[in-house]
Amino acid sequence: MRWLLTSLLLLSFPEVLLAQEEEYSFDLSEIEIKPYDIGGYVELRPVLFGLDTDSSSHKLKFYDHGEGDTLDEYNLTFQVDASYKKGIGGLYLKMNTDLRQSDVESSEETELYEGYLSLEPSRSLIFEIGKKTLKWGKGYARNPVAFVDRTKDPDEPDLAREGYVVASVDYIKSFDGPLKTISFTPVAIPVFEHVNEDFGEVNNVDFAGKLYFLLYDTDIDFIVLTGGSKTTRFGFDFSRNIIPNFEVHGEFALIDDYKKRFINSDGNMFDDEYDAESYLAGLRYLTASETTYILEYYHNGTGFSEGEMEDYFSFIDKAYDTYLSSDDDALLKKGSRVTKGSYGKINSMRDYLYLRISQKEPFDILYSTASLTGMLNIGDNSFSLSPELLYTGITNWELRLKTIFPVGDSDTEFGEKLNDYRIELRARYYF
Amino acid sequence: MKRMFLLALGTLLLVPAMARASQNDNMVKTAVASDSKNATSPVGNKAGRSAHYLIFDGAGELIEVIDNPYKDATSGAGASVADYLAEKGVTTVIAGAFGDKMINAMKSNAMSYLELPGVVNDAVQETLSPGNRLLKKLDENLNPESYEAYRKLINIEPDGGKKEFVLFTVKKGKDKVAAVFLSPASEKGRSTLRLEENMWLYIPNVGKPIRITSLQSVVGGVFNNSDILRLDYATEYNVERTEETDNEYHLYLKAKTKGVAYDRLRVWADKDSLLPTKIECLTEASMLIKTLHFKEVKDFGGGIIRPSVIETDSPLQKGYKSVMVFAKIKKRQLEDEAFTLTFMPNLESLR
Repeated sequence: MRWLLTSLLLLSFPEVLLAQEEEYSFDLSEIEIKPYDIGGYVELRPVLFGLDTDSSSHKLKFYDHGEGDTLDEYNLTFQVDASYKKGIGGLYLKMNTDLRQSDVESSEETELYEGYLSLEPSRSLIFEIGKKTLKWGKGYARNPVAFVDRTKDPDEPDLAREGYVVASVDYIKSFDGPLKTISFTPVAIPVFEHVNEDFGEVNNVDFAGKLYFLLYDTDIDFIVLTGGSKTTRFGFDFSRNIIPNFEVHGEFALIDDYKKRFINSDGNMFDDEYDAESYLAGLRYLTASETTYILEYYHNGTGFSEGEMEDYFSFIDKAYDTYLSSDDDALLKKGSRVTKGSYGKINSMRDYLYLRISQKEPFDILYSTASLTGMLNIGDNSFSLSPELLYTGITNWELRLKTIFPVGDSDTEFGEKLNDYRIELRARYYF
Repeated sequence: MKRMFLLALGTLLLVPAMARASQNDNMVKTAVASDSKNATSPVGNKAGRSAHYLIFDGAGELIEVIDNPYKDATSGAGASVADYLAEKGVTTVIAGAFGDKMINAMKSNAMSYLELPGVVNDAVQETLSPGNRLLKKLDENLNPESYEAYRKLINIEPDGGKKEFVLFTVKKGKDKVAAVFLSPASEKGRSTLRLEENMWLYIPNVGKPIRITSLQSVVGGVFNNSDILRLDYATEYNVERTEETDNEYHLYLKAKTKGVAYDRLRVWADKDSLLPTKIECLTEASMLIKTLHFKEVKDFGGGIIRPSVIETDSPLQKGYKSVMVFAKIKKRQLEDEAFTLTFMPNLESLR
């Protein structure tokens, strides 16, 4: 009778049975090994720019059409990751498409970020050939020793970037004792027309190498890049937890015969050649209440001094005044060219301080993170502040609200940015 | 260039000093004489002339193997070895036999000694406290020292909302663990690696592995990184006290070093199966951080019979619960190179 009653109850409320059975179910089909795999994300990112109409960036970009005080932009991104594995071999692809629509422009850009073949004859030997990102260095926001990578954007250090076509080998050896691991990664980088042509001077094959040690619980890398497309450069980095929740890291790069082009306030171009030293020192500290502090000092030996930057801003002002008085935009176009090539590059100046404070699960909201990022240009005392909120509580969704406020006087890096503020919402769905 | 090498040299010189500073010097250390570096080989018959000494901590974990620098000395080998081991912090020495001079030297260094023939591992077991011996047995029953397994982590919120993660895990020896996320899609390909106290997280888009700590949680919820990359309990803890009832043992564990996520554990173990049923994780001041409930004992094959579900709750996160469900646990001996920073992006190829 009890059985009958129980059965009737379960038939009437099948979800009761299902809920109890499914609570801790582990369906083995979830861990089935498949030779192929496809995933990625779709991202919608509307952005509102509050324009600084007096800035040099605004003069260069919008000199011939007034855009008002704000600008709307809508971005749609598809990123697809696919892989196929058979035996010791594997093929990996990462394809990125960005669609952008704003009041002033619309664009579509599709790039193969990565596409390479991997062979793993043993755990200690891995061959890879094709387009890939190597991501060398230990810094969070910047990596002066990442000689074979595109420059990381300190505003978005976690974003995937396009790689270069390379052939590389990883040789790994483990030991007992204070020296636990050695790995050696030699890399060949062909630089020809249509192959890595933006890496450096074409018709060369460059060679890079990384020697990694895990010694006394410290990660240590020695890095070199040489060849004809870029001048020879040497690098060193390290990372170590001094105590479990306190990590320190550093990078040092020496670039032989670095060639810098700069402009004076009259628009004349000059070249300077010198051995440039760049370095970074940083720490990451986690408190018991799950607040993470990342602090990094970065010296960019290839960057412009305050005087050089003031000359550049003066030139843009003069070019803009010339345009206003004569309708001749030749100087502004020259200004755009030098901006794109050097002055407008990420980390264009010499000394920066980066601080990121993030609080996991503030107010006990599970899967949320609140962060505040500050970037100070020590040379000209301009800075940017960027508060953000991240929520990952819905499976495969990531929602982020981020604002950036560049602050600075005129003729300073952040003071001359295009925006007074930027607000963006990023909704990303992983599949 | 010169500055670069000075910086490199400075770091390399600083590193061993920092490493030494972080070591716990107050450990019980037992040195066993042997002619091999392997703990499954015989105990050396002559203490002064044995080629090596294997050094174990108070919980019976092999922590160091050293060469005997005096094994070929023309005279006074035993006394010199005793002084050398005392400098290394050894408190007890085991060998097949000791000479009189070595015994005198050990006495003057306030060291104890035991003449025990047989295999090194067995000799060390003889010296362990009953509690530490029991803890090693619990570890052996939970999983082989080297294995692979699949785990599902389920975070359950007070309103019944759930978030699930599936991981593939491999472990080798006492100090190497790695795990790679298989789902959900937003976490796929993320991997974590632990080599002793070093922990790294690799996120495919970010690329380079970053150092993380045992206190953080890569999945949110009640589980933190040390739960996900757990070493054997005997590797990280000593048993301070043992109690027993008709059905259960109660073990009071104290972390061997400050770097361990929970300073104290209180373990309830079933007497028949010698498997844990409940573990409380506590701070140094005995404040409860979380409780692990071991449930649903299952035969995984290959002689592995253990709880397949670990439920976790925490007074610090009231109403929240995290569950770890195990599948396909089996013995597997991987190469050491699979547990390296360089191999992290390729961890999924181990499946």
